[in-house]
Amino acid sequence: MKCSDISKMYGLPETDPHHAEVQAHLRGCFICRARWDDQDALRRLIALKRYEQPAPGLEARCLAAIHLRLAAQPENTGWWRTTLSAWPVAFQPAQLVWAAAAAVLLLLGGVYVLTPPSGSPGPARPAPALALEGHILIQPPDAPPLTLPGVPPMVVAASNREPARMDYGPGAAVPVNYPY
Amino acid sequence: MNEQNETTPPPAEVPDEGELLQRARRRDRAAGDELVRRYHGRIYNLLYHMTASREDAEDLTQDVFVKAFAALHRFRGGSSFYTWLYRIAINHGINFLKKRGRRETLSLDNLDQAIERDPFYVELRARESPVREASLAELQNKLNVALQQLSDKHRTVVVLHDIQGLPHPEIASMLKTSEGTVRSRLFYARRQLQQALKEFAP
Ligand SMILES: [Zn+2]
Repeated sequence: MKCSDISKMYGLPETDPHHAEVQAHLRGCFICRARWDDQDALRRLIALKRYEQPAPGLEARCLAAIHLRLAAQPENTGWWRTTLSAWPVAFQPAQLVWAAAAAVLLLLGGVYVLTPPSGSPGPARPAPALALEGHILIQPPDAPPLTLPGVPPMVVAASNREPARMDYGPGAAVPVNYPY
Repeated sequence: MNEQNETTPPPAEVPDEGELLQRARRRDRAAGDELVRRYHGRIYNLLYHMTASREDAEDLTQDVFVKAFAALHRFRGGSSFYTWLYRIAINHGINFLKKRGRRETLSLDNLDQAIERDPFYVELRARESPVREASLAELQNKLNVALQQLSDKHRTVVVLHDIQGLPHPEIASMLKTSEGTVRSRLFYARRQLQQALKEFAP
């Protein structure tokens, strides 16, 4: 064993297979012996810090603060947590992200398979019941008068009717005359 | 049969840790309290030596248990609960120190007078060394200042090994590193401490 190896062996337990070899080196090498003793003295000097004692009542203060903080947390016992905690393996956040990504991909795949080809006739697009564009109210011709909670019914002037300005189904662009 | 034996209540059973953890997962407060009672001292101690501040250590100890209880459903017993709790404490302590930065003022715990009977301390006092002249408070301050000068990872291994007396394999498991790395960090940390404490080191 070389002197450079000894620095990696400080604190080696006696049960370690290298222990006897280290001791043999230390018996024959004055420099390593001195370094070894310095390390041990430092360890014992620093260990004097174990006599520092926390202020009395630490346990009671900790318990009280932990109770308060846990009580302030929302109860987190949703069905998903109960289910996950019943599994024999612990899920890491990264695993959950992968599982969620796989579920989304499966869902998208399912939607793709079930969607009819683009050439086939789809259901007729219904006219929008109501849309506002600037101050123009676009309304299907036979729609009932617009009412909003707390607002008197709008009076739509028939003479103001103009052709629909937007091409999305039968409807008319109607300037609104607000009665106020 | 001795009458006293019949009337003496049987010693309270110490609950098994696995059972305590099961109950704590179901938010059983008594079980949670028992876990706090078992480990708060060691966790506080670790965080105190890492931060050299009794107030910070106390706040961080509470944080560690709140975090641990919130994440208890993720603990599956791959390591011991104690190792897992220590890991939370070490990570939390190091993150805190990164945010706090270096602090010059220390807030130290009181020294137990039992130190005066410690064989190594008695030996130091008997020698022709500055320890003979220094007050206990001075020595305590020097040790803390020196420890605070180490990097977080070096200080952590010194606290775990030299102060808390944990063996290398356990420290390696807590830090998720090899025993060789733990030993080499200890070696370099002590060399640095030797510089800072050369007046006290024999
Ligand atoms: Zn040598």
